[in-house]
Amino acid sequence: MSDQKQVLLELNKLKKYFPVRKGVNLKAVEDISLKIYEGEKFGVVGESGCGKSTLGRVILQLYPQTSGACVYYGKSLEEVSPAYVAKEIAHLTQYQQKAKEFYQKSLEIDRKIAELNTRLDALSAQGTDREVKAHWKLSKEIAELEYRSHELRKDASRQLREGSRTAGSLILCENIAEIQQLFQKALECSLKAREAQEQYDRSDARYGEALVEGQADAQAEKELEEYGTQAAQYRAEARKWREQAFSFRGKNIQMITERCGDPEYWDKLDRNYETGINLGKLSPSELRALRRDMQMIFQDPAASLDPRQSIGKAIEEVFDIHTDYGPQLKKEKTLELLDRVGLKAEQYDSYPHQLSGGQKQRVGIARAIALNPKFVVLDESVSALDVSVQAQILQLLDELRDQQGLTYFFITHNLGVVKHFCDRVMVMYLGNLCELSPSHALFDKPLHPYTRSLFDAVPRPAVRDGLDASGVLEGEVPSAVNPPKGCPFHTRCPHCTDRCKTEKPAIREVAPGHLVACHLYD
Amino acid sequence: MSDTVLEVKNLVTTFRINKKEYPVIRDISFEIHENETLCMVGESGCGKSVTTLSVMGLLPENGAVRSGSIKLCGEELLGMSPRQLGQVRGKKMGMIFQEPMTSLNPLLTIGYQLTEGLRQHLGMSKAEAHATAVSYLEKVGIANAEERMKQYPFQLSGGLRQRIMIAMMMSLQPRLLIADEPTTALDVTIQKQVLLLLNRLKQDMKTGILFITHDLGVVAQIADRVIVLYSGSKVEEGATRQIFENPLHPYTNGLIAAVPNVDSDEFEIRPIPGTFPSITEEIGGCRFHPRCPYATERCRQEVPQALEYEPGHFVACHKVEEENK
Amino acid sequence: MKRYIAKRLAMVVLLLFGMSFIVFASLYITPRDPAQMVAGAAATEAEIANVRASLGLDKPFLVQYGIYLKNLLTLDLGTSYATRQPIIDEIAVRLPITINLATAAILIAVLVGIPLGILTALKRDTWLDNLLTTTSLFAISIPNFWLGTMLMLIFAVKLKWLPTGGMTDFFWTPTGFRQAILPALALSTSTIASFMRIGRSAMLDVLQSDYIRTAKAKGIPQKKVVFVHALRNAMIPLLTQFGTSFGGLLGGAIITEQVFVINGLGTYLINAINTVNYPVVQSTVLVIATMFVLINLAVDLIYCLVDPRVKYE
Repeated sequence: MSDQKQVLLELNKLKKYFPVRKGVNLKAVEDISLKIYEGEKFGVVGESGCGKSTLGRVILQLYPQTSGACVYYGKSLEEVSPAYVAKEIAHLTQYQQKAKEFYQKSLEIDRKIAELNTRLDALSAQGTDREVKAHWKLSKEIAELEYRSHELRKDASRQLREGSRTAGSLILCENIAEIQQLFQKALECSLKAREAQEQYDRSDARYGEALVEGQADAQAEKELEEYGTQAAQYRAEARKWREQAFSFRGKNIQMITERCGDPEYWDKLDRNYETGINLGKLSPSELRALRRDMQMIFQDPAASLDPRQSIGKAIEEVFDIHTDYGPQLKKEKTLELLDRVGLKAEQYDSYPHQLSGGQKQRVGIARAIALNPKFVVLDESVSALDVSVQAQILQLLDELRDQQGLTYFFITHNLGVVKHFCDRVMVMYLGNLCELSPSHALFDKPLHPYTRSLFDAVPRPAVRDGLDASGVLEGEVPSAVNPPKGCPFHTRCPHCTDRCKTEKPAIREVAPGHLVACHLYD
Repeated sequence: MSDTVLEVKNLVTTFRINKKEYPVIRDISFEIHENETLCMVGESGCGKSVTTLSVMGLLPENGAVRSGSIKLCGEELLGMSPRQLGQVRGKKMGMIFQEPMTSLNPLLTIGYQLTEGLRQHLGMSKAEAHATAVSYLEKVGIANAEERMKQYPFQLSGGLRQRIMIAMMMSLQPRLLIADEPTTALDVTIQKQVLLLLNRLKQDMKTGILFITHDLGVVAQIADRVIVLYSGSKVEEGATRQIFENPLHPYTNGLIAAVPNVDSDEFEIRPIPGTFPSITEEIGGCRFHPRCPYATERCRQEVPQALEYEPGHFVACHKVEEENK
Repeated sequence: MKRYIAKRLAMVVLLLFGMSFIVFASLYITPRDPAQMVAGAAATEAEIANVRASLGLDKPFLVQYGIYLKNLLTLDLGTSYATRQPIIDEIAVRLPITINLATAAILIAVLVGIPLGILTALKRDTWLDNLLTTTSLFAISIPNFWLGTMLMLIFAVKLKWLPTGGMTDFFWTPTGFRQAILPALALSTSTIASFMRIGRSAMLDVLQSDYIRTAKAKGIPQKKVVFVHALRNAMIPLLTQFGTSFGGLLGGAIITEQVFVINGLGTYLINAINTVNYPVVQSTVLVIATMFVLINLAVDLIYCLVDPRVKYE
């Protein structure tokens, strides 16, 4: 258990909808927000259709998210220097401008509404037919205008929110242009730092190759030192510029919307400030470079291996794609990996059909950890295996995590595995978060009714007198295309009230680290 | 003592691979009585599915029962012609499978698939069969039964399809129902519904159930008796309580230890070392000895016999034999 | 389902447009000058120019195409260079004959090929299966003009049981039947073989599926399993093959018609090719292609009836 609570990945109101037809969406993931810490084994449970697999894939950007953000802290913004940062900084003034425009427009509409309302008061609802008709028409017009005004206000907030990702509450400041320049200077320094880092990495590879061949490359060694110091210097400078920008916080606030005077709102905007990498905004090539850090292990070990490729070659392919290691280095690293996952060196030349399910899954694991990733998504990786093999693979995953400092996002429907393998667990239903807590706490005291039903439904390998018929969950999972209004679980919940049918429960922290979305705990 | 529905004695089934015959079921015997569920547990490749196919006479081309006897309600099944077997199947013994998504004909309506067997085996008229089918759909808890009759399988979920399979087979009122991992592909909450349903039907209709699974949790829920199978041989057999409270065979213990238990707080993932032997692998003596922490020279040479240690509790293991002399 | 049909109809219309364009444009790839062809070998420059103007060959490409399309929509397929008669009339006489031959051939293929396919699937790897599969290999390889000639030699010339050629009546009449049987047999052999092979593989595939296992577990007798449960599902790939084959037969009839001296579209087309009678070639190709497209459209629509998954899409 890691004591450091360093956040590795943060999900911010992540939504994923799949369009089915015009205007109809399959709502696979609804507003998931959570933090994943370094070194933890984070479990996600739910039944088919709950969206857990989709969530895993959206995090890795295998599907683009519909809205929300997925922010990665495993590498610093400087290291990666994605192109979107420059664009966002350039947009800062625009965000503020647009927000102002939208808000002003909405104020205009409000004035019009006030006018129309006075006219409406003059007319009575009863009276002649013509009066009634006019009344009705006017009311409709007012309603439409109110809707538009509301939408414009939302647009204004959205602009500020987008801007706050890059500048925090500074987006509200009058000196936004000056602030923008400061950020740009910081960005330039970051870019220089990155260049220096790249040179460093190249020298490192050369040094490594030489070492394998038994020689020592003196020039590479010298370059390493040089580039290292250069990078550190630029970073310090960038930090300086940014600090200068943030010295403006709270000063010269513009009242762009009515909330702008509220310090709580500034805090909210500050929380939006992304110090990590927003995965959704990366360009395809930048994303590919990050793939070294984020990997996935799939459910079906047979389907993810090319039957015509020996497993040695399959693992080497990873190096081909992401590095420029020479053939000898590749083979060495591959043999090392095979050993680490518990396969024999002779199996380098074996083909997938010659291996058992457990062995194939080990190859999958080897491929995923080949480049020392930080974050691994395991999508039902042990579900297709027999119980004893499952136990072996889980043991292996534990060892690897200790050795390499990995963080796991473990998707499964098997509660038993989750309890003993994962540190924290999230229960999902129809794309929504039901409950999130440390795993032992979840099983000691499950709070959400759905968690309780899941828990009851799991058959225990222990004898009871007769079949336990309590807590059977009736009905089927509703369609994600037309999810129930209010709480998504209300159609099957034994504790459903009228409130549950109309109002979606908010996520509350009921105990330290234990979140639930249920009206029973409001 | 209630009636014996199925009696299997010394069953040996082989498969032909690359022109050689390999035994997949190595001499197993068991009985199932009415209103009793016998669970066969084991991992992939242990032969549990092959046992069911041997009983039903549905082995693939390269498999064959070499010796032994299979008696259904006293009638010997081995040696029957395909046509005779066809008359026994469905009427006297039904089978439900693991994959509800592909086990129903996609081009025929549910109604047709349900009434087909009734008209074939029980000689009902179209109207009678329709009414019976609807009543069974209701019995398995399917709402809007009349509507469902006209629908096609692709319009229904996995849980519903599995229930329709159960209705389909049970409506023929067989004496024996064979269920080959029927809930493995289903969600856990749906699984619970299906298990409860099977149990209720078993009691109402006094059927015997042969339930195949690899999930020990399911076994504990639904089984009256349990057989643990390893690589084609029976290593342990007993009442459910005996197996879970007093497991004797090292493999049974290993299996129970490897299951991550939702209830216990103390749990260390303890896998069984080594890998499952393939069909073609030659192993002398006890098939489990390469992975067994207690293996002795005798285990390498001699195949252990199943001996009774408690009434109804059989174990095939030399170590257990030694300890109980 | 309505969307499915609408989409298919839209695609057919697009296809027909595309085909008409290709057929029309192909005239421009030819080396000979159509105006000269019409005017005759002995015409003068002025006469050729006249002809060119009268045929509208001096107008720009797209305008000509537009005129062509307009004519097509009024079923005016042009005039034959050779006979100076409207092509539509000449085709109208010959089209039924070719359809007669192709239909007879496809019927034979269906009635012989599909049952053989089922049989070989059920008796897989037995001597019967091996014999039939090898024979089918020959059947696909035999050129149908050779087979046609052989059949004619044996049955018409030597044994004098059947006429040597000609086709005047539909194949369901007594005379029509005797006229059609040899050419239809020659034409259909490779189609029989392909139906048999596809039927076999589709059947084998289906017989391995889980729902067949369920049916057997229910105790349904083998015959019903094969003909009610399995065949239905195996029909789908066969239906596709039907569409492709029928179209192919329309084209393949060309050679068979030559051998048996049948006055169908095929003979018409070959003569036109040999005499460089462009408009006839264009129009006949267009007609044959249109029939192919329409048949496949019909197959697509039949899917709707056969496969409920398509119906409810």
